[in-house]
Amino acid sequence: MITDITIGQFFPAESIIHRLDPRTKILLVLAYVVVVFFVKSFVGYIILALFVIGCCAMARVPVKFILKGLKPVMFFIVITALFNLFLTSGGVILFHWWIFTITDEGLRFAVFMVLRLLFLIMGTSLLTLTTSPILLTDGMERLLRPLGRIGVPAHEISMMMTIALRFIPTLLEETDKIIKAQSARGADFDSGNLIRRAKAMVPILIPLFISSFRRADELATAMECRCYRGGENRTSLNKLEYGRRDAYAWLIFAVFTAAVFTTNFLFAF
Amino acid sequence: MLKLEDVSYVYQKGSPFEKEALKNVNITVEDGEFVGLIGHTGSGKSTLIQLFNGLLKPSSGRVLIDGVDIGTLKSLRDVRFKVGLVMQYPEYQLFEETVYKDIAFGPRNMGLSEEETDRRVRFAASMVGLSEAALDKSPFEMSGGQKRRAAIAGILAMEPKILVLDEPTAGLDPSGRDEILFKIKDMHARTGATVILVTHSMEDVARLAERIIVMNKGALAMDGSVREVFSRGAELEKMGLAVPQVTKITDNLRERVPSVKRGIFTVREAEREIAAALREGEVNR
Ligand SMILES: Nc1ncnc2c1ncn2[C@@H]1O[C@H](COP(=O)(O)OP(=O)(O)OP(=O)(O)O)[C@@H](O)[C@H]1O
Ligand SMILES: [Mg+2]
Repeated sequence: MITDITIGQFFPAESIIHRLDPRTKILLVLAYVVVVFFVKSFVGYIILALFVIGCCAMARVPVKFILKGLKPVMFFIVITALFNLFLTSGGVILFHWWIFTITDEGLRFAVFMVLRLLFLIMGTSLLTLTTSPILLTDGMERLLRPLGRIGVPAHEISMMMTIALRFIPTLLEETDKIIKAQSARGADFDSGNLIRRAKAMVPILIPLFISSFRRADELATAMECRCYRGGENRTSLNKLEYGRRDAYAWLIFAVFTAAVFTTNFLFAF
Repeated sequence: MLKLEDVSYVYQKGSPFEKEALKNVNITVEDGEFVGLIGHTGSGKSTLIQLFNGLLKPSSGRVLIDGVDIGTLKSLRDVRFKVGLVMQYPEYQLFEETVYKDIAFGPRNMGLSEEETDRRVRFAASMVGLSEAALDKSPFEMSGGQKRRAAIAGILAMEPKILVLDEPTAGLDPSGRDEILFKIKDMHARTGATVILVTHSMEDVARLAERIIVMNKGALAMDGSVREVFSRGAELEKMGLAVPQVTKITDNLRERVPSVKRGIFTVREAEREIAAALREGEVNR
């Protein structure tokens, strides 16, 4: 079912990762994304895998749950892999048929690209899985606050992101309902050529757009009714505070980063 | 004939949000029955009826339509046309430029001719009380109640053999509600279509249905004639349900006037009994 998509979903649990300060987690995820792009060897990817799986275990989020969330993006990952596989030139030719050529470089690139994307998505989804939307915005806002002096609307940006995150599951649920209602009237989504299939999406997309606009409108009204004023002088109920565990988190991450860079020097493959 | 054999359904299986919505449900509905489906909020009514036309696949058990296990079918489209399902709050399904085109969506998917589609659209619109003028309007500029009518007409136009309605009249005004329900009852009597009506109104069940199915916490709690089910008022109340109000009134009245009959479920019957009781009172005084 379409509601099985877990990207952006919060997974409530009691864990040390859940209790980390959201600012720490946001910055760590940004640093993690950078580090992932520096991994250049298989040993590096093994370390990366151990790190991600270790984080999932500490966060008490079943790896199976995260893997299930990867399903909808699998399509893109496969496409990317195929492009890399066939379009990379250089290296020893392993396989050649008609216009298709596979080289060992291409194979390496394709495998690395798949691993990179998988670990990127898994790592970043840990952030939303372990941080409630409210904490996520609070963290984001605090991190962006210094930029307020040069005119960046920190509060508004974080508010927009929270709302977007908050509405992903709602919209998926809505889509599921609309698909069901149109199927009940005999709508056929998976037969015919591409154009017919695209046309079959119309009965889903129109109600979805309309209800999204209606929702946005209602939300705006509801916020207005409660005298919402963003930004200036707004304080939060729960003050964010760094703790000892945040220092540990950075420490562990530093070790991980060091390990990754070391493998880059030690192992060529 | 619609038959559920030991059907269970679990939402989001394998995730921490796993929720068992139906447990070992067995139901057989014969052709031409008018069944009322009642149950407390969250008892699994909407889940149950989505199994009828294969929108949801049972986690275990089988769903049979006319003896065929729909889990074994390659395409469920024919099942969808045979079992017409009006979902709860169906307004969001409207998408066409005009109400006419929207109601015609189902019949066109069935591959019917233009004349037949036209006939069905106009007939379905009249069933739900939409005027000819309303057919050319955009569904998005209509009131909530009119949207609801258009959405119901979209299913009626498919003329399904088994019509399933999930709280079709929730939020409609009283006269509109009665109008639609009685047209459906009338159609049931005329065409012999099976009707399964989900509702929270005991009054509606009492005056329309022949048989009542009661769901409680995902399990089948009762299944019997209107008389049988409503004579178990105490059990119904434990499940957060009730007998019709007139039944309560006449039951109270019986304590004073013993001649008042048991098992009064409709306002009309109650009217007769109360009038009789009053006349008797006159005589005795
Ligand atoms: N998509 C879903 N994911 C998870 N749980 C769900 C989902 N839909 C329904 N449920 C749960 O399944 C149970 C039965 O829901 P269902 O909608 O069938 O109840 P209902 O009897 O139709 O209630 P109502 O009278 O309020 O319409 C509820 O506890 C509900 O929380
Ligand atoms: Mg329901």
